[in-house]
Amino acid sequence: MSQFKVNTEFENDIVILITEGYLNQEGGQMIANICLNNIDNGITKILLDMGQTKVVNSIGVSILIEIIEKLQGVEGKLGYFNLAPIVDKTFNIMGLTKYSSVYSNREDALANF
Amino acid sequence: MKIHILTIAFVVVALQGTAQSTTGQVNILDLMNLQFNLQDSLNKIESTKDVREKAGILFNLAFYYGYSKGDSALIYLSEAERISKHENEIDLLPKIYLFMSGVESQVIANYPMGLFHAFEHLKYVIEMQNRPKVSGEDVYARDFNLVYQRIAFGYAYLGNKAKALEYLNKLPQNFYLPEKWDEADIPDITTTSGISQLYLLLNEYEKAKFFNRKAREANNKVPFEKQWGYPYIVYSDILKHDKKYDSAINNYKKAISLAILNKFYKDVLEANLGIADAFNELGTVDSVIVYAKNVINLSRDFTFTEGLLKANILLYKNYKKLGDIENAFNYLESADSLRNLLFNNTRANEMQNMALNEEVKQRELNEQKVEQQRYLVGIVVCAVFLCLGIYLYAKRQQKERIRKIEEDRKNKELQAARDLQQSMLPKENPKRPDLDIATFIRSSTEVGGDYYDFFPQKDGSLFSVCGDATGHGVTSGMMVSVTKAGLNGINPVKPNKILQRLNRVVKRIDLGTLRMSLNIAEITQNEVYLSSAAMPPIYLYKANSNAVEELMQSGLPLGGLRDETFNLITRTFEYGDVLIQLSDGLPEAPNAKGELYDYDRLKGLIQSSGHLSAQQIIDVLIESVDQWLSGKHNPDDITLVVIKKINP
Repeated sequence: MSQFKVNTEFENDIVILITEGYLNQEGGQMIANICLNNIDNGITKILLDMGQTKVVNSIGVSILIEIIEKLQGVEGKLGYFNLAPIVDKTFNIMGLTKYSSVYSNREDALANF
Repeated sequence: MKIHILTIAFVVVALQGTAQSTTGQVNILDLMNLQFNLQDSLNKIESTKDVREKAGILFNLAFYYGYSKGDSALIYLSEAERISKHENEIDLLPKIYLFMSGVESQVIANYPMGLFHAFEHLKYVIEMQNRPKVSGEDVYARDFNLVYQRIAFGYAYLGNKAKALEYLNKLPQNFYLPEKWDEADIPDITTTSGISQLYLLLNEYEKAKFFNRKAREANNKVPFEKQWGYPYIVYSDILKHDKKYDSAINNYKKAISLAILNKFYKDVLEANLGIADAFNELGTVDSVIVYAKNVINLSRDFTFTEGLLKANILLYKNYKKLGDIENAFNYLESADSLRNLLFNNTRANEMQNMALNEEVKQRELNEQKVEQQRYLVGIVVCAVFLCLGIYLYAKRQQKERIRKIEEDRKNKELQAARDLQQSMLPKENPKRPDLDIATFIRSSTEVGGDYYDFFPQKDGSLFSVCGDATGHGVTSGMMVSVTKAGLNGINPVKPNKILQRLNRVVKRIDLGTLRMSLNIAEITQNEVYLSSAAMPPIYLYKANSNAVEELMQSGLPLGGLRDETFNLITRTFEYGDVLIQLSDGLPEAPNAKGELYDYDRLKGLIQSSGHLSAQQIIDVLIESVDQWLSGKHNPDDITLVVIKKINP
């Protein structure tokens, strides 16, 4: 697996994390650090563009659950777009979709988040 | 100190006469006028235990006799050499060899030996450079200028002009180049005179004249009786070369007067020979015979071997002119005998080669020393690298030991985790007449957190669970352990309620990011109740329709959010139906291209193999996924629980 990368963009009050690579513990922790930092700075809406993340493991998901839990504490929310079908399925299985939103693409996400 | 200075100066000009420094402060004649008592000296040599004093007396004896009895001088010098070497008084050796070389070259005409000892001189001056300077050290022990002059003389006498000039060029330029002559820094008269003689031997007449003039100018600064005779001998030789024989004879006579006055008898012999030779050029036979015979007569008491040879030749030639064949023959015989003694070509060549070899040896010695220094530096560098190497090796060994300890620790941890995982799993599958149950678990390299278990109930129902703890190793083992404990303690309610309660338990324990995915199937007589917390779909093969239903439920893993709720699915479970619980290790097994096995493929395979026994279904699925993996390591555990209804 290639090294996990995250680029951050801001769209109004939303921070968009564009991820690339295998979302495992390392990748998850990277996302968590950025998210928690933004939450501390008052950002409560976080979108993940996961077009370049084709595989997610259980620890990666566990970390996303932690982020969801943090966002729940600040009445924030987490959303995703450009999910690979297998990732979409994994998120669904793992129950993430019950507490966060999945969008088809960036426009869809920004319009409906 | 004066004695040493004058002695050395005397030797440098090869015992040609007395010396007068240009400053006029020192007069070598004072030394020669010492009331030298041979017996006293010999007694002193016997009685003293001071090696340096003994060597000093021997040297003075040699000096005393060097000017008149060269052979005797060499005996004393040899003894001084032996004592100095034996007692390791190395600083005395340069002076001894310098004097030896002078006597051999310019008194007894043994030029090869003179050159040889000049190189011995050089050897010990070099040796002295490597020793620390100590109090009382011989003042000339480190003087290269004296050595180079001596070697230049040695080569000049042997007719090797190139080598003579090579060594002459090693001196300060104002010592040997007229154009560099510096009135403010005039060399000692002995050096100036010696250089003029050297140029004369090398047929460099203009330079010889220049330095001889300078020597005579220095001589003229003191009263006649204190002048040194030898510059006049050299001057006479130059005049003779210019065919100014009368002037040459007058200057030779002047030199004789001074030499007799100063008891420098070898100069007397040399000047007499010069006169005989000049008369020979003038054709004055009688005068030749008189002066040549003077040389022979004086040679009985004083040594000047080459002069004796030349005198014999002159007498042979002139008696022959007179027709006195008998006398001519006698002198010819004497000359031949002396020539054979002195100028045997083979011997001369051998000695010159010896000297040359010595020179080469010296160079090699110097190169060896440089090489030794390089070796030393090399050794030091090697030692540093060796130490560094040892240090790095030790460091590496230490690292290796630490790595091994760490590896052992990990292995032990892995083994403990495997043991823990194994202990969590049921020893055997339930044996029931209505159900055909088969299970499969394959851990990835590190111990995973997959788990399955069965909880038979008193009412005949069976709870089958399949789970996957996040992470690996002991930590995931802990999560499995917590889950198993929780399951054991929970009343047999519906699976979704069990998951809810378990979720709270796990959340309360709080194992950080650790979560537990788990599904539970409750199998009753004709139904199955299913609930799942973040587990892959449960597959239900329906025998009567030969169809597979993928029962996917969305739910957070245990330990996710405290108030998570889980759905419950109910299905009929009839004869021939197959229920398959699995972890994500199988559907998410990647092939060499990174493509996942996927759920659709799995579903299709379950459908095609649903008619088989529980174990056969497992075999088909595992064979298929292994083909997919093509030997590639699967990053996650694979767990399968297959339950087939075999009796109504």
